Amino acid sequence: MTAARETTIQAEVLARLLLIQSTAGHLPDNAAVISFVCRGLEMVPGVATAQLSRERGFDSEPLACIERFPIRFGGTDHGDVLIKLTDPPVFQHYAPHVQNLLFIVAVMLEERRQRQLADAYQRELELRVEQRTRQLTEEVAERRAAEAKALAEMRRAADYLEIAEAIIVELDTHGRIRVINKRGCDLLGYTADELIDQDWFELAIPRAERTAVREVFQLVMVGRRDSVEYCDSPIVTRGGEVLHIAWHNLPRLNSGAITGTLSSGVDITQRKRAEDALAAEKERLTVTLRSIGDGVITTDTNGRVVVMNPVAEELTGWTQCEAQGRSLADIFVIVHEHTQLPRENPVTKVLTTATVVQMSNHTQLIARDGARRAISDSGAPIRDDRGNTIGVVLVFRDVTEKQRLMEQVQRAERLDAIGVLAGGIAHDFNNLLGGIFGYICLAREEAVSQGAPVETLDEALKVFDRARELTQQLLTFAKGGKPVCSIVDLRKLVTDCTRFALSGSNVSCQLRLSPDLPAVEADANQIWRVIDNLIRNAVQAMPHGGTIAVHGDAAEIEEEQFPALANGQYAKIAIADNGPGIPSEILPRIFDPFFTTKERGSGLGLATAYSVVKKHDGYIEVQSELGKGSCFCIYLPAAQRRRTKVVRSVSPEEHMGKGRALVMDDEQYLRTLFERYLVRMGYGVTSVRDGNEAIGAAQAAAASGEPFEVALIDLTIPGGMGGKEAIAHIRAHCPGVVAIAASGYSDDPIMSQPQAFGFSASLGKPFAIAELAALLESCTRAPMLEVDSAEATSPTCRTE
Amino acid sequence: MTIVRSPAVDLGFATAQVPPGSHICHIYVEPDERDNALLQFITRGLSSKESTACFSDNLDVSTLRTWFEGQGLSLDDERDDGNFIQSDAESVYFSDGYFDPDRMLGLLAKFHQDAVARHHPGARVIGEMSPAISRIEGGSRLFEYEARVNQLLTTHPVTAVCQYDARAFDGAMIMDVLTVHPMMVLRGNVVQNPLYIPPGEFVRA
Repeated sequence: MTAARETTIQAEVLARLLLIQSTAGHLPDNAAVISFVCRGLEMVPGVATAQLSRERGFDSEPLACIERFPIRFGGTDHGDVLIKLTDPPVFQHYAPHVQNLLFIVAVMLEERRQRQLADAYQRELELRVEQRTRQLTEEVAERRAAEAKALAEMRRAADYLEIAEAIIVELDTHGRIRVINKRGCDLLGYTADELIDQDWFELAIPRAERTAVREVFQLVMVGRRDSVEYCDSPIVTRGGEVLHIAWHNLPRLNSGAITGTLSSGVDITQRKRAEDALAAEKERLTVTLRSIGDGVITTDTNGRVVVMNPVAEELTGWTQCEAQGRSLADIFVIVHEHTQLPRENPVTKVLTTATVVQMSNHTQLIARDGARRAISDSGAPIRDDRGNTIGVVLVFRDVTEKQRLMEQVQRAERLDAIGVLAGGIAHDFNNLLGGIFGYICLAREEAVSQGAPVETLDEALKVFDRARELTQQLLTFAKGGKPVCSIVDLRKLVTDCTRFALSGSNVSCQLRLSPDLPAVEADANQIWRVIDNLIRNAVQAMPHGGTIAVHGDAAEIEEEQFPALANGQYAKIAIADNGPGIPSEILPRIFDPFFTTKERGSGLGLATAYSVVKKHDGYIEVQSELGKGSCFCIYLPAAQRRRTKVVRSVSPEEHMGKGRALVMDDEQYLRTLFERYLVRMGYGVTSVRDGNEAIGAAQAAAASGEPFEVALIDLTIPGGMGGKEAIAHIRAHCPGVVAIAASGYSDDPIMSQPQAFGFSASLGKPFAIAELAALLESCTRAPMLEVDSAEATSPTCRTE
Repeated sequence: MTIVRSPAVDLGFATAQVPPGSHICHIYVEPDERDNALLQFITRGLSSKESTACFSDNLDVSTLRTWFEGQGLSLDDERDDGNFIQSDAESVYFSDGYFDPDRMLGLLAKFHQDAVARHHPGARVIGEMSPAISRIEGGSRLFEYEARVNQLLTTHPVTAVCQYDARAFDGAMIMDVLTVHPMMVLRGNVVQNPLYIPPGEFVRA
């Protein structure tokens, strides 16, 4: 029974131990297993408690009551299970099983530890694998992304290369083409296959440029990129066209060594051509600007000078460099010619109106040195392509000379017109005076012969002389005043006239006549009157005394210096005073007839001087400055040196004629007067009204065997044949007739050269009987004398 | 160790069948092991028309409904018909905030009585003890309760499976649990527990 009980107990305990062993393996951790096992061991017979030695000891217990079972396997010690026994003998039956259980537990724990280690290794490995896998995945993804990106970039670069507007060309160290893009192929006219490996310089660079460009390449090859990184050079296409390319060159490096060049080039042919065209246009513009005869100034919109051409420099006195950037008002100083008030700045006016502006007349430019010039100018806005005003161009010219010449022309035209009018009146008046004069003379002679008093008639003749002088002056001024010219020595004439005019005055004279002063072919009387008039005016301008300078010299007149003068040699007489001067506003009018500033002046003095000089194909001008005086200059054509036959005059009272005489005049009172003159001289006189009658009379006289010895013929017959037409017919019948041309129009060429028209001499109306007698005497009796042309004369008639 | 071979109750998750009124300890480590045992136990109970109850904090309704549908059952129908009672563990074990073995034993007895009254051929319950038992008032009476369950089941033969998470309790506690369950599940088999201490001895100890 006891054995059976012990056996039964033993089997049950063993079953428990087996169950503990089986169940322990399900517990999750070592602590749970050991505590589970220890609790289970406490159910073993003879056991009081079971504990792991690390948890607490049993130091106070006797060793006989303690069993120690190590849980140790594979070098791993999990501690000892200390079993406190209540009945050691009973426990001894189970001790081997307990030991076996705990060994199994140790194996299980070791296995679990190993498994945990293995799991840990596995997890670590898996973790590493996972990490590495993830890393590799990421790396692969990154590499693939990088490859894809690189591929995309390569494709994009290739696309860029192909669509680039620039030439991209890569050369090796020998200058052979390694890479060239589509643009380069298109421009050169080759395919890429044709270009690759070709010598770039031989193929694409013009022969003339080849050496220089290759030198540039060599510089790049030795690392000198600084000087050649950017450069322009031409290429030549397959078709021979030269294109201009702007290059950017970079060396290709491989491990620090230069393996070639990579160049990008932009076709700048069009730009280059445009630049060349622009430069040429600019050059043309510059040349044009410099060649323009007008002054040109351009400004910006602030009125600052940008460009001046040489004419503008000369007129303003400022150089381009000095003027650039300065205000136009500083450079271009303009005032009104008469008032001297400042003119409006033309730039301001142009910018305000935005239109072309013509400046007012009478504008005077004051140069930097104070010189004043009359100018005409205009201003215009400078516009850009969009029509915006970007500046102003000012064009101006010196019209001082033009204005002076214009004034001369205007004055001449004005005086001509007045002369025509005055001449007509004077001629008629002269004829009337001639009649009055003649009959008064006859009346006086009759009174003398009858012993009657003639004082009243003498007074009448004195007044008449003044009237005739005025009429002559008017006729001289007018068309009818044609001078009767001879060679005149101006040195003598001017000297004599000056001394005569200044006699008794309080004015000193500075007379300086150059030896070169040429003789002139002139009417000495008229020139005398001109000089006399100018000197007397000068004396009157200096009532309190002063100095008159009379200078004479030769002058060479060039083209257009004076519009009224032809080119050539002239005698110049200058008469200057230091009087008050003539105001500028009346200066243009001083040569007008009847214009005078004197209380008792006729207003014909300067007008006559002007007319006389003009009729001598000369010119008279005046320069005057208020407070400083005036200067009159006379230009007369120098005479051609020649020998001239001059007839010396004889006393008219000595002439007594005989034979028949013809008088032709349309005025009855003049026919009667001239009949009486000639009858007094002993001629038998036939009077006719016109040329036809004169021819008939000549024919009749010739037929009668008593042809006319003398003929006094009027040149102008209103409504009938004049003397010019009749003279040849008269001479045909009366070949030996002394024919005198008579006319109130002294500018008729017949009057200056009567022989050329078939006349013997000429005589200006009105004339006195003595003058006629003297002329007839000279023509019929006096010998012809030859005199030097330079000798001064005062002829009243002239023959050759 | 004795393999129970007499046909009685099919637990659903073990190879052997047990007599009605068996009190079985199921020590598990993996949640899948727990869930599989729990679901199989319920399914087999309902398919056997037994009155079935489940007290677990680890079984949510959606999982349960899906499982039921997979087995051709309707969770709502089984509930509505009173065949199946399902609740979380704390509501059952720690009602009113403390653990009362008498109340629990009363509930168990009533569950059986109801099953009999409803003419179920049997009654089964599966529950998982919460580790919170050690902190709950009355928790120290757990083993007393388990021991008294063994006595109750002799008169009210409810097949009871108690699930314990080996990771949530220490080893000594697990050993103590084993001493109050006459049967246990070991490697998928239901075995007589040699560590079991009959209620009389256990109470005396």
